[in-house]
Amino acid sequence: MDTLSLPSPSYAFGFHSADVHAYKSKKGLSQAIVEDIAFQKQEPSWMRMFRLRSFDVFMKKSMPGWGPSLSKLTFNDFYYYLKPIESQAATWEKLPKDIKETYDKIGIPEMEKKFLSGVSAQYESEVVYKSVQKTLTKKGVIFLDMDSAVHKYPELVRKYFGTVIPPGDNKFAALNSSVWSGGSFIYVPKGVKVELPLQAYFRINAAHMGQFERTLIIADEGSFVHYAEGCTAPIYSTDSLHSAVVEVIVKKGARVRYTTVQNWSTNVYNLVTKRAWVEEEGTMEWVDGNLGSKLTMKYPSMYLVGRKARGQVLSIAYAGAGQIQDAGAKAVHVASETTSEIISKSICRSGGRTSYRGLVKMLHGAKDAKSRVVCDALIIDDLSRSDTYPTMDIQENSGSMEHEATVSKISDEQLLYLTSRGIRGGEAQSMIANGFIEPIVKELPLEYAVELNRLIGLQMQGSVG
Amino acid sequence: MEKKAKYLIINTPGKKKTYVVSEKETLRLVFFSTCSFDLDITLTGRLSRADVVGLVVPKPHTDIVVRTVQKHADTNTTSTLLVKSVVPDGTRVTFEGTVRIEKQASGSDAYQRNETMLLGDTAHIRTTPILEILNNDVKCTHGATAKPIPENELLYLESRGISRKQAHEMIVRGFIDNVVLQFPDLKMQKSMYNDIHLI
Amino acid sequence: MPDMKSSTLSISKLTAKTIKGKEILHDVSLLFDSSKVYAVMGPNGSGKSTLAYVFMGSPEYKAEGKIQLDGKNIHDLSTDARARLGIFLSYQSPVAIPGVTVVNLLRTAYQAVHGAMSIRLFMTMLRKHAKELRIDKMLLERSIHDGFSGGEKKKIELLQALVLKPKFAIFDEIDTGLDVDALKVVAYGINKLKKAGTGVIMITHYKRLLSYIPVDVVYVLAQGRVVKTGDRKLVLRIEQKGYVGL
Repeated sequence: MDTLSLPSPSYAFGFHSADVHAYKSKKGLSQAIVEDIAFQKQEPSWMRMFRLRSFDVFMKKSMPGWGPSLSKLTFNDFYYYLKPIESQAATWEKLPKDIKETYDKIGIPEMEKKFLSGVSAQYESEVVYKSVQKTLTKKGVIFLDMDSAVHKYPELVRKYFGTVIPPGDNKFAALNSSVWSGGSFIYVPKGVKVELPLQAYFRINAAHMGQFERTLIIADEGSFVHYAEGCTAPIYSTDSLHSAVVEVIVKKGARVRYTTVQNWSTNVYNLVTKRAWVEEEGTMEWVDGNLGSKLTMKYPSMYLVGRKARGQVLSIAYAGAGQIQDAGAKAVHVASETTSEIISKSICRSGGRTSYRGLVKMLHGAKDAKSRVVCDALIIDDLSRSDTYPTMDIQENSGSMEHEATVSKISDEQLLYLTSRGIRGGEAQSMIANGFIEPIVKELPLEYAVELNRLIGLQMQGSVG
Repeated sequence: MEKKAKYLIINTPGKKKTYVVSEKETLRLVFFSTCSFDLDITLTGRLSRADVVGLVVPKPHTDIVVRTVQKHADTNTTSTLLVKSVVPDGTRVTFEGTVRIEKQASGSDAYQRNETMLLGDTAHIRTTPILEILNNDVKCTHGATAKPIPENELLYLESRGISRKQAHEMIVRGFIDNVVLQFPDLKMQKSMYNDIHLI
Repeated sequence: MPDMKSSTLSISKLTAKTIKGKEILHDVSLLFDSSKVYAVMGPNGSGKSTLAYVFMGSPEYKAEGKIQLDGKNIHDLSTDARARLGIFLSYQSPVAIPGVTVVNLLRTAYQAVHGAMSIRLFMTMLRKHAKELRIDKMLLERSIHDGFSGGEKKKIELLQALVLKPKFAIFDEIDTGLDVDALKVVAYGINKLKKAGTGVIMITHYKRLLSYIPVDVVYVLAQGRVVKTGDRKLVLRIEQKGYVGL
């Protein structure tokens, strides 16, 4: 199998085609722009009304009063909608040339040929290319871009859209709810297990572009699906904003794994709301890799509402110079015998800052619920900073909750051991850093694991003079 | 230079208790609190050390907040904090424990642990152990657990002929003993056991 | 590739202090030849382990004096540079490194010391040595020394010496905590190493291992100084009368 072409030490994905867009909205946000978006997409009135209501909420809601400073974000500086071509290409060949070139550089064709079930590749605000394999459609699995889903499956979408994350949840959810474009819609019927990971790629291209994809996954009873996404974005001198919303509904006995490896260039604000609603005996697994962006605020959540529902968050964060990774997880135990497990590993160096922010809440009545949180941080040098802000709110006395966190640097003893075997200092640091995150990396699809190990390795070796 | 241990019993909420530990000094503190309580410990001198053990047993049907701060402001400082809590029915405890290691405090070692035993159906604990680490040459660990009285332990004692009520008491005592027994005064210890017995 | 012709390792008027200034080794001069087997003995606190750490250039000690490998002064070289020149230390209590497997470590080290080798050839070589030392091959895929038993740790240290083929291998108390069977396997491995041309230096304070491995030269350290030099008869003497009167 071909491996993904791996980046060189300098940011290899920092490129962009000359801006080719069939339509470009004005900068800034207003009710008129929201109306425009709905009009351009020819949306049914229920979605148009949803956007407008959300816009109202966005205007009224204040910025979060906690976390890293968002004072440099000026909403009127962004474009909120771009449409590259008139309609979607049905096959790879029909895609416009320069868009194909962009994806060639990222490596989609090999992926597509080799082992994926289907690819929705997003360019700017809308999915341009999609390919759904025959086996998927035969099984009744729906996998397409969100915009098309609104038109093709309105009842299904309408039933679940905004139910896990309502617009009023937070300011950025409200923003996304009003200007969302692109993202994936997945419905897996009862008992169907999709063996191969479904993947999507994203890019931000034009200057000041905001990326507001909206993903909704519904796994019906007893089903299984693994959705994976990896992002890259070009480098610009002005800031970019990525504010996605991901809603996942895991019905009785179903299992969903959602893997993200984010490597946005370091001018991007990445503020994401991701939440799963897990019913009886359902399982939700969030696997989250945060490597890039200037500031990421992301706390994959799960509401364990059915008996024996299970949720797991595996999170890796890496913060280099000028980066803040403010990540974590949230588990709310509503029903009895529910379990949650959160494992977070973070590395910071060269002045980067990693923060773990988490909440484990056990409501009264969540009998025999169990939760375990482990968060470990590695601070490589004395320029960097690591914080943990976990909260455990336990209102039920029958289960158990455990939380452990450790912060340290690379142990001198371990470094001495490896160098005494002839391994040079920089490589020894890489090995230890990669060993530190290994329990989570081994849960990633192979090509992500390879890229991640390589990236960490390069970053670590860059730190030794 | 070692100092004798300090003992605190807090039955009414009052001002924040602040301790500053200077170079090469050691602070040993043992506390017992039945109400809201604020504790601030700053290690300002190099090679200083603070070891704190505390027990929080709130009066039933109250809502209390316990805040502790372990601040490391100089090199090679060490702090350990263990706070145990027994929460009765209808009572809420909010525990917020901060460990902050300043940029200049290399070689520091900090440990913080909060263990809670929930006694009733409507006992409520909110615990937020916070770490703010600005220096990388440190060792820092924190942990928190919240559990009820283990049913298997109750059953075991019952199988030895002990009534459930008594087994209950024995297990709670076992949980709190390592703190209570650090108080040198038997009268103090007795009054603490009494407080627990009442809940 | 380290030349398996004869090599010499020498220290001359070596004084070693801890970072805090405590002097552990005083004016030590010793010579090692790779065609021979050495035992460095002495009571607890004599500075034997410190000697091993000083050979590797551990940052925990400040050393003054000459350290030479084949006439070249290695005093200013980093730990990894010395390892690449062919010095190996088997640690008394090796550290665990989560996420770094035995295979991963060895392959990377081998590449650093000897250059690239195809993965297939490397794995064949590794498995062969592991089998000789009766090491369960499952252990090779685990994080190094993470949860390993005492005996497993010592064997894995020895395995590394067999794979890396150094000019000199220093074993810091490899015999402590081993049962008779493990001891025999370790002795077998060390003898094999010696036959392949590696100079073996065993740091130990009692006879156990030395009954399985014929020793050529014995150096006795006490309170950081060399107090006696002899041959294997010295080992017997120590066993019978201890270190008193040397």
